[in-house]
Amino acid sequence: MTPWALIVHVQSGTRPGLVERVGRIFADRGLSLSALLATTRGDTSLLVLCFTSSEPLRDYLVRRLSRIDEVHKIEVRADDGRPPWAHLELSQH
Amino acid sequence: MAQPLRRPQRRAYTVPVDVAIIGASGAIGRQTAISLVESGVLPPTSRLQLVGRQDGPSQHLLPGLAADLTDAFAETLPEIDVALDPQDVLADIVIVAAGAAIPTSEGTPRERGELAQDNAAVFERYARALRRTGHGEELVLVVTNPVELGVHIFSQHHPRNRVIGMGAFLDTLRFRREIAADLGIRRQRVHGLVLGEHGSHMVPCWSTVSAYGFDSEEGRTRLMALQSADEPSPSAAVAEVTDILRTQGPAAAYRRAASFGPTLRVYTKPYITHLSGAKTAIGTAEIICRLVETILGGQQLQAAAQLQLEGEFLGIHGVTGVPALLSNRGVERIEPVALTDAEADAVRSAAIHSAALIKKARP
Repeated sequence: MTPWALIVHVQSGTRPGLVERVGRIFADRGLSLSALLATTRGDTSLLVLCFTSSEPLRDYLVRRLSRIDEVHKIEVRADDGRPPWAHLELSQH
Repeated sequence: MAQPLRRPQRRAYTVPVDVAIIGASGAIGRQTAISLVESGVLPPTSRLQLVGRQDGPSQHLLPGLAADLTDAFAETLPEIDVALDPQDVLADIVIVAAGAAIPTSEGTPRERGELAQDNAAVFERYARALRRTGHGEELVLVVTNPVELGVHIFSQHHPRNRVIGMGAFLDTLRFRREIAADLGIRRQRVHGLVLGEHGSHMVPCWSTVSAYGFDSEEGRTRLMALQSADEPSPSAAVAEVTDILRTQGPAAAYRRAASFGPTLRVYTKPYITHLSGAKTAIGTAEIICRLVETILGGQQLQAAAQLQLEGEFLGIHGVTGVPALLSNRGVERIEPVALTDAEADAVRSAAIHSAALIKKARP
């Protein structure tokens, strides 16, 4: 079990309920988010999701999140304990 | 005040879930999607994935179906996702309805075994993808025929207790309906199982039949009198109604089928319905929908289903229809039932027949 941080790039102007849909994907697999940050950068909304799981389950979550219409990119990072906003600073533009 | 033109919805569970329908552009897949949404089984926070092929007509049809569902059920629609690659199938419940079916235009019914060669590749493609990209706890409901082959292939890539063939479940409900019709009662008052193969080797087990209100000696006598001893064999009956269908039309074929007892009606009526061109999509979809509703509600269900066995029932190693307790975890257990010797032999024989079919399709 490894701590991970996913940086989810979402197109702006997204319809309401996105965070609920994202949260359910983790809850359905019995995972708790240890940190969640939502912000915007230009035309893109960004979600930072921190959690702990195995690598295969992390891969499943990435595939599943990618099926959400509004999600256009997901970055996967090992979570070394830094605060969620620090992951954003390292995020690709 | 005008009332909305909407059928009353059944009780909707609030448990969100992801459901994928592989083969959603086919008759059964499409009807299943409609039934799941219309019934309210899938709450708006659920996700319904419509799965088709990138290189087939479904690549055009499925976005249209998604839009049509959105128009029709905007008030309650779950999230709709169209997927055209097996690797994109991501769901908690995977309904397998893709593949070739018996043509409705044919004058004579084909054995389900003839579909095996075509559909083995379909099963294999999706089963392999599920193993690669799934979370491992999916419940797989196999509808495509031969259902035994589908269960066998998926069970090689996925925990076998989570792979359920729907054939015996459908046959059992048809059997109960036919008995109920003769008794003049509703289906839910009748119990009884159809085991074995979903096809010519199905085994309607009269020793398992009972009906609410028919437990007295007189009632049991009336119930058991429905087993018509003096009837043609199932294959002869199917051939006869098929010939009548071809020469005189469906009404005459149904009339002939109605003259049979419940056992032969279970064999013959679905054939007529399918070959008439109406197919059996509505009934099949509704039954799938009820199973999904039951297991999403956290309930357990005693049913018959095609399962991959390792000696748990009559010592069978292979796939056949058996009584089982189903839940959202899949098969909780194989239910022990006391069959007559003849029924037990027929179920074993059905398993051998299915094994031969599977071996032929996947040498």
